[in-house]
Amino acid sequence: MVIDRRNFLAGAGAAVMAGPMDHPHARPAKQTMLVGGVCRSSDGRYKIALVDPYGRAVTSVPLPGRGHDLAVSPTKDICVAFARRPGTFAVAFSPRKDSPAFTFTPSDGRHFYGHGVFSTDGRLLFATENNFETGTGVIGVYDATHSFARVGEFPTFGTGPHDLALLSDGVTLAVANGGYREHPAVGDGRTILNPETYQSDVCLIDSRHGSLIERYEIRTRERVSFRHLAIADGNRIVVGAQGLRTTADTDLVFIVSRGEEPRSLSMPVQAIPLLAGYVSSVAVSGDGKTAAVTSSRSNLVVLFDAIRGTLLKTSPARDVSGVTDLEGGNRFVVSTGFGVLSELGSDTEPRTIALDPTSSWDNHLTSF
Amino acid sequence: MLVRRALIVLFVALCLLPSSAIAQGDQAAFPHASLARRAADKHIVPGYRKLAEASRGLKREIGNWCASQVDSGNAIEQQFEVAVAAWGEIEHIDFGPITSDQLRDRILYYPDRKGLAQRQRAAAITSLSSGGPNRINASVAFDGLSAVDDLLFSNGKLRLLTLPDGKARCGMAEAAVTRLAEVTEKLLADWAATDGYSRDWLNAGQAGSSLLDRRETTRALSRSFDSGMERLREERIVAPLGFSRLRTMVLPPLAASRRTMLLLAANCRGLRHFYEDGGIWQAIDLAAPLSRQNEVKRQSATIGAILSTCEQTAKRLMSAESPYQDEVSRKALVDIGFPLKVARKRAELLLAEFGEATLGFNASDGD
Repeated sequence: MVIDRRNFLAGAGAAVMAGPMDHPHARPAKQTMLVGGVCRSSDGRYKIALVDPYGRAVTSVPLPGRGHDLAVSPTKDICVAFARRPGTFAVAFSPRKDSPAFTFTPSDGRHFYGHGVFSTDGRLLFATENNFETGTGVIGVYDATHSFARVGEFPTFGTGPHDLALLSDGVTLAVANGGYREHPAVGDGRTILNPETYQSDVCLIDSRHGSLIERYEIRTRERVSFRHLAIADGNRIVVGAQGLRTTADTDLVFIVSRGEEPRSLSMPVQAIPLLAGYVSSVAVSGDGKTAAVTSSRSNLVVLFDAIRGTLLKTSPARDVSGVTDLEGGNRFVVSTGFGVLSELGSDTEPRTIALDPTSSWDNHLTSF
Repeated sequence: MLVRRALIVLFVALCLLPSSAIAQGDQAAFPHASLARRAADKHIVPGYRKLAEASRGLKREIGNWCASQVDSGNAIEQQFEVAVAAWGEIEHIDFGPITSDQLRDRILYYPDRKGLAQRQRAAAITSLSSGGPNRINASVAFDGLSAVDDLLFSNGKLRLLTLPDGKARCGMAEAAVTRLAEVTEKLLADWAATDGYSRDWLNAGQAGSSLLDRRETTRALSRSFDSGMERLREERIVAPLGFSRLRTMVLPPLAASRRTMLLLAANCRGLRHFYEDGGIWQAIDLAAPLSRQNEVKRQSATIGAILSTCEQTAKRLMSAESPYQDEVSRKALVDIGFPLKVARKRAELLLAEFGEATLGFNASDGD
């Protein structure tokens, strides 16, 4: 069947017409908010599930394999779901189901890392990728107005890039270089080839010409891999890390801000081990002032002040991983591998909004 | 019906339970290293040894049978059962050497969702029987117990060697068990030799080991138990009953020889042995505070009892011609399905609380 790409890309055209947005947290008015993420069904198949803020299913899109995260165009007309590493598929679809889903791949010698972000005008899509023969990270650049044709790439100035986000200037990309070197032909493609020597950092890159603006190498007691990030008020970058071999007092959550020394989240000493050396996801509230991190290995959601870096609240949730902001103040939705969606805020108790024990929500959740 | 309702309520409650990972009071340190050693010594190495011996025996019997050209294969049927049971008892181990080179698929390829492996074998038999080109290739279709099941059995009985395709089937089965014997021997060697995988396993968290954190062995054992329980219920019971989400009946494993219930019984027995004698129960018991030990013992006993009932049910259904079809057998399988789900949840909670081994779709395999 020939897919009518023109129809599909009408949404991308609309994104271009809409022009740049002022702030990454801004949302067009009068649209029903959606929450979406990768889900595994009980038959082992994967899909993107979209629900409304009340947990009611809106639509779903089947995936050819296990996905990881979603990128959403500024006008919310196009979503792209990426394969998790070392996968090579990306599925673009319209959340309103007004055009067929469309699959594209990176070029030979590259695989996705599961994350991507649209440019503020919606025309370009940036995706973290592995040039696995050289072991270097690249940002693949795709033209959303031409069937997501790959139009170029630039380096991430590190190895194993994972998550990325655009700062509010609409130009600067913040990229977490996880540091892990992997090759799809070795083991299951996720075998870490440099466990004793990997170097992780966060780089700011000019998305117009791929030049390095700044690199942050954050010193920690034990070696950690920076993996997920979100942008808070004042372009503060909230970074979540994971470690292969961590001790009880290894810091895992950091705030990076231009012109300042990176700092770790101030957590009571007794609370740090609760993250079990593993941060699954990071999100920032709609007002940019509160951040949330999840740790599936410690069954914990941690909310903190994204400006001061101080702990606000911890909340237990079994196999919690996905987290995203919910419209209005400092509220978040979290998802679990047990099919639970809950809402919580720094001043509100967790409330289950949906439960489907036959589905497992995967690593990340996105709201738009 | 009341029991079933109670189990459903219990299961939903377990799903919604918040983690109790915070502050355990007088809880003792979990004995990661001793659990790793006990699991290897009491469960994994003996399990792989049994499998290697059974595979050698099956290779010998099929070789004799094919050479004699006599249609009397009782010894093969018995040895096939020994091999199926040996694999079923250790199938849940999903870390270490078994994860490389598609070894799991090369021992038992299941499910063959679209019947591709079956079609490949059929094409190869037709070609060989008619003097055509040899179509046997490196596909898992030509390996292991699933190949022997399809090549030598039909409707629960051995096929007749004297039929026109008998020679081709025999040759292919011989090749399949030869590779099976090689593979299982290698698995055993990797675990039993002091310089094999066991060196990394027993020295987790120490310099030179590929397992960087001492807790990784407990995580691997916990994940194995959990995924073994999931496979047992979802793949061996729910899917062939047609209760999966797609509502389609999936052909059960080893359907041609009708040894599915034998495999199911071995799966239940193996998981129970893994939990009780492989050290999981003892490690949880050691780590639990005194005030919780009675409760922990009760929970572990329930897990063991459910797996024991599972084994007994499967054994009882071995004589059933179509256990996934006839109503009485279906009901027996349905009845064991939900308790297995509860047992899995209970084990998961115990391991998360006392073993620093949170289980779950994300906790076990996040990114």
